[in-house]
Amino acid sequence: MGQHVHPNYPTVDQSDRSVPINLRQSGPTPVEFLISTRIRKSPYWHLSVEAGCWRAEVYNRVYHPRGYVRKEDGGAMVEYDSLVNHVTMWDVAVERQIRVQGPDAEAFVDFVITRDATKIPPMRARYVILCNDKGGILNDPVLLRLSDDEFWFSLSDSDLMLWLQGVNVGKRFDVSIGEIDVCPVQIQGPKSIDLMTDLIGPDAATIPSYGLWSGTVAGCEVIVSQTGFTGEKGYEIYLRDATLHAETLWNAVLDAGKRHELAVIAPAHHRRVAAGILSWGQDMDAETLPFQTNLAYQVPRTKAGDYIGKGALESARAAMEAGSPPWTHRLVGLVLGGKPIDEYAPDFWLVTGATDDKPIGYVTSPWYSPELETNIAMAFVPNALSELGTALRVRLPDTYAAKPGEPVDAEVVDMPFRESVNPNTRERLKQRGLDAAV
Amino acid sequence: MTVDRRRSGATLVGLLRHARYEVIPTAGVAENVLAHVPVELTVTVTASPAKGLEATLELTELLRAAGYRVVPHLSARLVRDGAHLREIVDRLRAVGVDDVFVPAGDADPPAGRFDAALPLLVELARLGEPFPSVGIPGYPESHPRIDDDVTVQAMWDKRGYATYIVSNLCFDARVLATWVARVRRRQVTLPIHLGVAGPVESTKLLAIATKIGVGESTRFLRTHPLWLTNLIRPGGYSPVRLLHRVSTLLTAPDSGVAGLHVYTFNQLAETERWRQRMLQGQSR
Repeated sequence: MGQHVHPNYPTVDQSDRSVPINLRQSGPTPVEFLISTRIRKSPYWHLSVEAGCWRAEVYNRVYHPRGYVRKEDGGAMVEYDSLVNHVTMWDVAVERQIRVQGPDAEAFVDFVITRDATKIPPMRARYVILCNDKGGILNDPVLLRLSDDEFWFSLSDSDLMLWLQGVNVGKRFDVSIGEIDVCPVQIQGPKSIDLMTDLIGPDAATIPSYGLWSGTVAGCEVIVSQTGFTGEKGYEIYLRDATLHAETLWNAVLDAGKRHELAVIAPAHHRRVAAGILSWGQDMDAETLPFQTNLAYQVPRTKAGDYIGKGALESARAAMEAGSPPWTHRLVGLVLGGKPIDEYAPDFWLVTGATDDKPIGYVTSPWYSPELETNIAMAFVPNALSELGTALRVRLPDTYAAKPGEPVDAEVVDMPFRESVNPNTRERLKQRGLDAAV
Repeated sequence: MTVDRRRSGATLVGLLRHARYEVIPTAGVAENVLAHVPVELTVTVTASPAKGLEATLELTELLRAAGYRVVPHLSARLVRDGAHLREIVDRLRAVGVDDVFVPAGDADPPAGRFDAALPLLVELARLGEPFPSVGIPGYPESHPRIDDDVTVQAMWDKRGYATYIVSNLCFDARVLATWVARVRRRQVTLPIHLGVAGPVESTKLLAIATKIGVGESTRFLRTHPLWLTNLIRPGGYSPVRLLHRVSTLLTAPDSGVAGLHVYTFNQLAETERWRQRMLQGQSR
């Protein structure tokens, strides 16, 4: 009889967390997804279903389409092909917009994000993080600044509105904070510039990376950004009064997209993994410090203003630089063997050392990259094993293991695995030898 | 073998006969051009952040007056605003310029709102497309193993506003051929002028690089230190060898190679001597 192991694998040291990541390997657990009134249908939901949506998850209390092409028809990799070779539309109404508006909007936003809001010009967006007072990452939204006194947080999957309203419950800042009836779609892929030119004219070619544009599409008022959850060329169309105009915008994009081979697809996590883009709730959560991931650059060294988490983050950085980081694991990129991973991982697959079988870490986001011709992944591994080139192994389910029951070889590599068409701030800073936004 | 050599030789001769020479606007370069470059050749004039566009425009005007066809480089990041661009356009058209090359350029911070080439290209289109020919850069050395890379997308984005591509410095025939194939696979159909360095004498190259501070081609060299080592090593680089190795590429119709763009680094006497010997069938 083998030694009994607790199903949550205590050999993975999660002593730095209050709530450990659940490492039970229970597999896909076939369960019917319940559609009910407790979860919101977005104004695009029925349109996504018409476009072939057969699978969804819940994101910001909204149904989020996560599969259009059936597995028997090629599944996620067919959608991927449209993304990297043509152009795609994604229903991302789940990216809820929380508006902060008023005379103190800049001061308030500067107080809740780690980056310096005073350096964001109007009609520009920035990828930002918000932390709690312990430095844990609460959300990593794209922050749109529409004017001196209006900001929109375009959320990842946590209830930031409650946090923001809570921070200001004492009315310290003269702002209004609330969710607004704006639903984005993402237009991603190399031909996105052509589709957007058809929709909004030559201005599409002049919107800078993370720039904003205000105008109309098919008579509907929109904000357009050059941003996206991939490393490909891409835009987001933020539809105002989405409840009224969803069908008009959606159909206008479909019509304009015909001559560009537009496909409606789910967010392509294979491409965002290759681009080194994190997904809140998978690769980080409220107990993750930015220094454990590739988001250290989001913590300025010289931001004048105070902000929530500043003290904790500066202490954590000092400890890290002194050689005693207050965390047990870091998020790294892995290339790993095995058969092509062409579906979402249902579990945090276990990472072991190269020569022993003891689980020591876990995979958060694995996918197969056709361009790199290998499986790639993000994974939390022990600090001592996070250097580039470290050899490790991953226990893949039999579906993907090279040989059933045997872990596959893996190696720690730099992220991004593939460069983005519009390198983000971290990548631009790295090229200049800097480690933090100024 | 004979057939191959004859065909590639014929192609090379044709391309060399109409080669474009890139020059850097420094003191004395105009006299150098007049002394060594046949008036039937096209001369392209780079722009540098240190000197600004004024040096580029002045040299362009001078060489146009001397009868050369001139292609100035309009670095987007050196253009202050729409009014400045209109000034530049008027000035160039006044001296008969019909071809411009539009890179982003290196000025940091940019002089105005054009922080990339594409917005400037869009603005040129809005001005009524004043130049029949517009070139944009291509970068063969970026990511030879990845299909959908940054620079191929950049060419795709600009293809509606440009008429040809000039490839940046590359010393590896295989990389160059792979890049052309990738550009074509992505359905970017603009003709390509292959960028090659002429024969370069190392001491003069270093002197030029020091004098001008920053220029597109020398900046690129400085970010590729191994290239510089190869370039200045005796026997390290031979444009003849490179051109022969890409002869298949040059002759393939679907490659769409329309010309040669020679980075002279202002060593015009040496470059022209080399070209003449090539035209006469000699190799060095």
